[in-house]
Parts: sequence; structure tokens; C-alpha cells
Amino acid sequence: MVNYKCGICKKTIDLNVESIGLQCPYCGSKIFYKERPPIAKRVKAR
Amino acid sequence: MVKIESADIKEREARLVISDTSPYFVNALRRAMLREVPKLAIEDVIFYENSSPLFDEIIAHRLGMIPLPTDLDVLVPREECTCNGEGCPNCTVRYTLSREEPGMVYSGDLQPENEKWRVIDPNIPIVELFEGQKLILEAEAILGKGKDHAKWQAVVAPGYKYYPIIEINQDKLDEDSIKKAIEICPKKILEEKEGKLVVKDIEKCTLCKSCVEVVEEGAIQVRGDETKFIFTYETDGSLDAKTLIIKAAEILENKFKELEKLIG
Repeated sequence: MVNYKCGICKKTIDLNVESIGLQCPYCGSKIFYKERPPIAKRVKAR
Repeated sequence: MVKIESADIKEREARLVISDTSPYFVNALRRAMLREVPKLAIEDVIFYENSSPLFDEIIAHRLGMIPLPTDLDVLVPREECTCNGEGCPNCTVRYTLSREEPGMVYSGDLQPENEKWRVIDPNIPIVELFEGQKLILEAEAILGKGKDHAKWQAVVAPGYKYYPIIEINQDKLDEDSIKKAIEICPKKILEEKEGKLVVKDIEKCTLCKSCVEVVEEGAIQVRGDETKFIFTYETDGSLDAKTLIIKAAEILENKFKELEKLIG
């Protein structure tokens, strides 16, 4: 499950993208940032 | 036959005077140094965490450009390695970087597996971390050539110029024209000695001919010797200057031997 972080209170919450009317349960904000997934990412140094 | 009249070779820079040759030979040497001499540089970066202000790809590119020490007697190119490109100590050098405190992350923070491969210049800034930001990664460095990417170019500013020939006809010069010629020279290589115009340091002449223009026609003649060259270059520290030119010459020799074999 991908975690999202509230843009205002910075708390991590579990969200289902299919749900309508997304709102932070703590502060009511509707701005969210997707957290970086905990996987190793290989990048070319070019 | 090619002659080296003088060679001032330091750790990271060199100046050679090469004579009895042509511009084509010196240019071939210059191009071999730029494109063909192998050097170690970071190719793959594995990011475990990056909450810095820069994208992963930007940081990876910056890491790739950091000069790393290269030992051509120990390392082999990955495509020629017995590990078939898997990445073993013969072809790959690994570094780790882990930083969680705020502040500038420098190239010196890259920790090699073996101290022998510690970066040459530890003061190259990579990215600045602020409060709560982290950077945790591993980097793999391999041998490559300048023709594939500029990060694998060990030589810096290789260049050659004709050796200057300055002929002065003292009969056509008077005190006033001597003064003008000395003053106009941008490299200040002319001086007056016992009422005559003499050249102090001919190798600094850039063949601009400014002195020719301010005196009587024929008083000074400036030209380049098309069989003698001043060849200068620097390195970024990954290879020393002597190894670099020797390796370039070996590569050129091998290329011509290959051609000879193909022609039969």
C-alpha cells in the first residue's frame, strides 16, 4: 500500500486513490504528497 | 624520426617540445588522449534514500563527474572481464555514501571499499542537505573511454601550437620602434638589450604578429615551425601525466598494428 503525506501537517496516512473527496483526517487538508517507495533505485550516472 | 627536444612532465601537467614531426601526428596523439585512454568513473548509482533538493539523476550525474584514481594495471574494462559484466573487484570499484545530518555533502564523503580508491579531491560539493533530509546510496565505478562520455576523459585541455620563429632585422629598427614593439607584445616576450630588440622567452609567443604591425615592414618576421610543436596538457588527477601520454601512444600503436594485420 502506498503511503501519502499530508502537505500541511506532514503526517503519513494510508489512502486509497479510488476514494472520492480525499481529506487529511487530522487537519482537513486536501493536498497530499506521495512518499518515496522503500525500494532501491538504480540510476545511470550520465 | 620524431624527437622530444624537451619534456617538463609534472604529476598533473606536462609540456613537451616535439620536433621532426607533422601536425597530423601530434593531433592523433591529442585525440587518442581525449577519446581512447581508459579511466575510472562512477557509472551506476543505487539510491536507497534521497530526500535532498536534487533529483536522483542529477546527483548520479554529479557523482559520475568526480575524478577517481585509476590503476590501469589492476582494472579491466567490464566488457572484457571474466565475470561477464556481473561486476567483480577486477572491473568494478564500489563506494557508499550515507548522510543524514544537514550540511553540504562533499566528494570526500564517498567511502570506498579499499582506501586505495579514495577520491582524489575530497572538496567537490555534491548536494546540500537541510533539516530532516537524507542521502543514502551506493555507487559502482568502472573503466570507460572519453569517446563514450566526458566523465571518462582523463586529460584536460590538451593542445599544441607551432614552435615560434622570430627573425629580427635590427637595421630596420630604431629606438622608437623597439619601444613600440616591446609595449604592444601581449605576452611581454620582447626586451631591449644594448640598443637591440631581443626575444626573452620565445616559447611564450602566440604568433599574434602584433609586433610586426607596429614596426617597419620586414623588421620583424614571425612564423611557426611546421615541423616542431609545443604540446601541453593537464590531467584531472585520475592518471598522472606521464602514464597518460604513454598509454595514448600504446593505444595508437595497437590501432596501427591492427590495421597492418587486416591489410595483411
